[in-house]
Amino acid sequence: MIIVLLLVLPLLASLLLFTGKLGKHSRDFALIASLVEFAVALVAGYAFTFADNKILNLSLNLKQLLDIDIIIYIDAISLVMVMLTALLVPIIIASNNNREVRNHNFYALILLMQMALIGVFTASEMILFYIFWELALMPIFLITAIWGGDNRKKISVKFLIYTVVGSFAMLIAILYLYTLTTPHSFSFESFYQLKLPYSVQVPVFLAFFLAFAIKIPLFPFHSWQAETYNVSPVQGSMLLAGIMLKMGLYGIIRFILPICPDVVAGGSLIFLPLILFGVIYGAIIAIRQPKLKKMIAFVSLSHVGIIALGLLSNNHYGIEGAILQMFSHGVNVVGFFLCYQMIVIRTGTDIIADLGGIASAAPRFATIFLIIVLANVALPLTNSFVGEFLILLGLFQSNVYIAFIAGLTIILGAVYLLKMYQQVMYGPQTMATQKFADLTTGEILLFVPIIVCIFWVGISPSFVLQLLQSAVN
Amino acid sequence: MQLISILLLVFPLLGFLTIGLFQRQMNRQLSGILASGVIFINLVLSSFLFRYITTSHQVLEVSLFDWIKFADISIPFALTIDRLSALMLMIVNGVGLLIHVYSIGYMKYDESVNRFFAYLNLFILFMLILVLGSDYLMLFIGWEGVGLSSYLLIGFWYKDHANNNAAKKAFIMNRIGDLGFLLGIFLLFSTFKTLSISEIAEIASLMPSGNITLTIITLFLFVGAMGKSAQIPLFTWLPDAMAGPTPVSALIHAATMVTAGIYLIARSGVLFVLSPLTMNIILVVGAVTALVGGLIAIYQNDIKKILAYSTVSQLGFLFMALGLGSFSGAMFHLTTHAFFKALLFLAAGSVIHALSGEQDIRKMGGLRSKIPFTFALMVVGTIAISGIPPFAGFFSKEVILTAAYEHGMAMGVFATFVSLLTTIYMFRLLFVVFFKPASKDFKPAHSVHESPKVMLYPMAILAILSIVAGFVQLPKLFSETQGFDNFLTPVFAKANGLQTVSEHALSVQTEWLILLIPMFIIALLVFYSYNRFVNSKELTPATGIQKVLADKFYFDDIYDFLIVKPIGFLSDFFRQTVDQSIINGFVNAVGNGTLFVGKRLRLLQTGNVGFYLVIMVFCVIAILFFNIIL
Amino acid sequence: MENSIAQLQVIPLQYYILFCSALFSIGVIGVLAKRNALVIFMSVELMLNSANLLLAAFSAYRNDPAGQIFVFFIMVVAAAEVAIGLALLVVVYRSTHSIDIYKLDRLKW
Repeated sequence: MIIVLLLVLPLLASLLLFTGKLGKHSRDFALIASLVEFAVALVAGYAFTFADNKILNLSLNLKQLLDIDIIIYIDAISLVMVMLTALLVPIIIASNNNREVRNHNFYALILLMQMALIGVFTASEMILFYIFWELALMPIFLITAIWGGDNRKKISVKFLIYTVVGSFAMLIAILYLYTLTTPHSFSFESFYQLKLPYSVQVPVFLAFFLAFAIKIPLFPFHSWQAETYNVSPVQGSMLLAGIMLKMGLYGIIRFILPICPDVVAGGSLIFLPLILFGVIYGAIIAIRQPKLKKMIAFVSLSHVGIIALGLLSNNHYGIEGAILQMFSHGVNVVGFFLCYQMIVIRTGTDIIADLGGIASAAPRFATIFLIIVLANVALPLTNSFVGEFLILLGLFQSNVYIAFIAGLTIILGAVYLLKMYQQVMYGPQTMATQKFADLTTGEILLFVPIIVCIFWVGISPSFVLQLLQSAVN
Repeated sequence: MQLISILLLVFPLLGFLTIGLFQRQMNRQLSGILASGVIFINLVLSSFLFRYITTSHQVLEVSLFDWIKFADISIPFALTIDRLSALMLMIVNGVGLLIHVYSIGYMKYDESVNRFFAYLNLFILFMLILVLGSDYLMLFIGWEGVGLSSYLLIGFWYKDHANNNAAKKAFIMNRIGDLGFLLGIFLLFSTFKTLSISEIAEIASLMPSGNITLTIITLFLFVGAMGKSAQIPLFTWLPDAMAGPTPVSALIHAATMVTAGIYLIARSGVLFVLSPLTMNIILVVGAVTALVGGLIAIYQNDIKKILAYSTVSQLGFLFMALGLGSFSGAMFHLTTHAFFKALLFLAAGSVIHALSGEQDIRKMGGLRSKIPFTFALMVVGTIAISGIPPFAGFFSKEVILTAAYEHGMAMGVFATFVSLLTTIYMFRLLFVVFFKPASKDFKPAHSVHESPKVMLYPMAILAILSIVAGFVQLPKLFSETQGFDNFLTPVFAKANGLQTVSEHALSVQTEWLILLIPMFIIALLVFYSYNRFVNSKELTPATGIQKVLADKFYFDDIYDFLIVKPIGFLSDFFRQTVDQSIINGFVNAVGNGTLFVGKRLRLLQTGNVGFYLVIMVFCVIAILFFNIIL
Repeated sequence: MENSIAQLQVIPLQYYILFCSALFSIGVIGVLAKRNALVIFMSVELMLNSANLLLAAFSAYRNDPAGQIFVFFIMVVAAAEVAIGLALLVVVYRSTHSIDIYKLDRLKW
């Protein structure tokens, strides 16, 4: 029941916003709707933790219609993702504080996106999953194409087509798997029960992997990412980086791991180094990237590469660490974008070389930014440390060399983030940063949930981890 | 008792949060007093714990809460207090308190003094976590935490990019070591299924010596220690770290953070003793570092850099001690070094303060009469560090030198040589700054004045400690009571028990020789230094091999050439060539290709109906044809 | 009945085949080479009729009535097609005032 509410609420809210009757109050309405959604998610989480079978589900039978049921359920992994979505969307909506005028459609699209994302994370039936997957593309495409920066039409179309190519491969794989199930059905259950021979697993794996590699993105399917982040409005980038990315990783958990386990185990020497290269590649580019937004894109590329490595490490430490890290990364990257937003609103530029000395003018912001930077660097006691530690531990147990090279990211991470932080915050003030007003209370409030998550998960991740334990097994 | 241990962590945390959150509003006097008060309370608590541990012969374990716990991994937040930690507690809190008080005077006119004290408390917090942690991961939390505090404090005056660069360099070099440490932790976990230090020691003590896994683990841990304690090749951050305020250099880069590596190895004594290969490597690395550090120090002209390289050298010396198996010797020297190095740094700070910011010793001179107290304190420190009896340095160095001679005559001579380098550079410092007649570049901004009492008292206390601390353990020649060793015996019992003791027992005559010959040489060196540095006009500009030393063996330049620049190139290369041209180009080419093909294909639509008819007929014929043929 | 069939079979089948092929070719050439839409329609009719004739001939020579039934189908289809085709032609004429097919060239690249 609650799940239906989770899905339907943002849908209704967005439909209401689309009508445009709310005019000036669109943003506030959207904010309230997303906060209500967050409350519902908390209730769902609460119910879940104390439920017996650890699953909330809903199943509608539409057998007449082409063997498609509608099954949605939440288990621990979905719950984490749903919480992430419900937590981040209010922050994303609130981050746009009317300095730039956005009309009601903008907020409607964000809420629609939220619904699609929650749908992806809760669907337990292939066609439904696929529908939500594609559905999630539309709002972000529109947000980027309408409210983005220069050259947005071309880049958003490129993004759309690129992603759809991957989804198409996934669709073929889904249909093929459908034909293999007896009796024919699209539900996850029946797919999980297929025990495919190795030769069948390989093409299925490749098809799914292509789709997810494009979505996450993984090297070398990442070229849409930097440009799209760059051209998208900040809220769009937050949605993309914070949550939509995780769809791809979630897909790996739901499809690749249960259905193609042999390929994961056997082929790890082939694709793990590829992902690893992407991690280092992203990190190295981030060192000298002149534009802040693109730098965040490459930082993200590097970090989600690590998460993907954890998922494919064939080791339950790695997998649990990866799921935890999915949550942490979402929070951290949104925090990073929030800081970015603060800088860009006040100085109008996001070229790193033009910035400097902000810490002298805005010490509160400097502290908050430092905390977020440290969270991205995976300092112990922050949320990403636990995830990264577990992932590297898992990798270490599979293959020492990969763990070592992946571990280089902790060094490279310090290099590019500290370099950026130093250039932007320390030193003398530049022309662009002359009048940098410190954060207002409202803005500080925006950061509070992020900082709370950073430390809370960093210091006591156990309960999350224990929740995930059974699901992972 | 357990509550006290928890309070030890709570107080600095509260101090940090209070001062940090109320930075703007807080009175500048108040922050210093508050911070120092917190550490004072900590010191009192530490003394209680110290007494308790010493008298009750017990080890205290305090379990706070489960940190990471699921499946078969369980890593709690837990504290262990045994004699080793109790000793470190006293050092950290004691020296920390003295430096806090000193800073009240030193940083008095700085505009961000509140932030300074917040960071100092933060550092103490993390250092205590490091020292008290009962499993390797908690130690790692403290380890990274002190790295963070070091970064914040080195780059404290962040308006100047030179400071920020130094801070960044320190953090990154530490991180390189941290990777090694992490890999060691992973291997530890995979091998022992637990990360608790005591449990691992239990299990490991049953393993044979020279076990490969243990050797690799200890090598990884040593890499971590190399980064944190500035051994070759990860030491270049330490001299650069002098960009921070002097109390920071005294606390972090002399007495506490840099000793974390040594603490780590001492703690994991069992593991290291069972890996003779690693021990040898530690010995060699320590020896080389000690030598290099000492040599470079002779040619430095910045008062703090001389002390920084001296620290590098002394740390190398400490690692030599560890490599020789003399764990308690290393801890002994660590303690005395904390005292006199902190003293030297604080005194240097006093000199800098007196000269309103001048740090180049070539521009100093003749300060003996102008700042007599500082002079006296500096003399004490110099004598202590040079190992001249009866000050503390002599006793602690003796233990290590004895261990070196027991290892072999060559090692002993080498260690003595390194130790004598100390005399040269320290006395050079002393003579040039205080004795030499004032140079012509001597132009202090304000008149030269002595430091205020709030700075002098802590230094005085450190001076007293530097004098008496040695008497805890006299060389074997003179007395049988080995106070320090005995104190730490319970801690190192297992490790010592597993060591294969090389029986190079030295005869009494040899021991006397070892004692006395260096004394003579020291006296000669002092004389020589006096003549050379006080009476000659200028230090001659460096040429030839001296130039290599003066330029710090070109380490920084090598790193720049081998690592920094190539990564920069690689970054640009990846960004522009690979990412934009190749990968992006490929994707765009697909799109462009599609458009191109489309453009060509649409020319088929001529609009000419006759043309369409012709094509239609041809295609029908073709289909029929192929149907029949194939 | 057999008598009339035997009478019919005096003319060898090949003549019919040749004749219908010729008709068909003339029809095809007419479709391809003519500009006048009406002439094209007539050529199409010619092709259809040639097929009809051939079918009838085969039906007679094989003694199989299926061919003649098929002829009926083709005649019906031809009629319907002519009706619609001429209707289209009338509409086109109304907008372009010509029945030259080369004048219909606006739907091009």
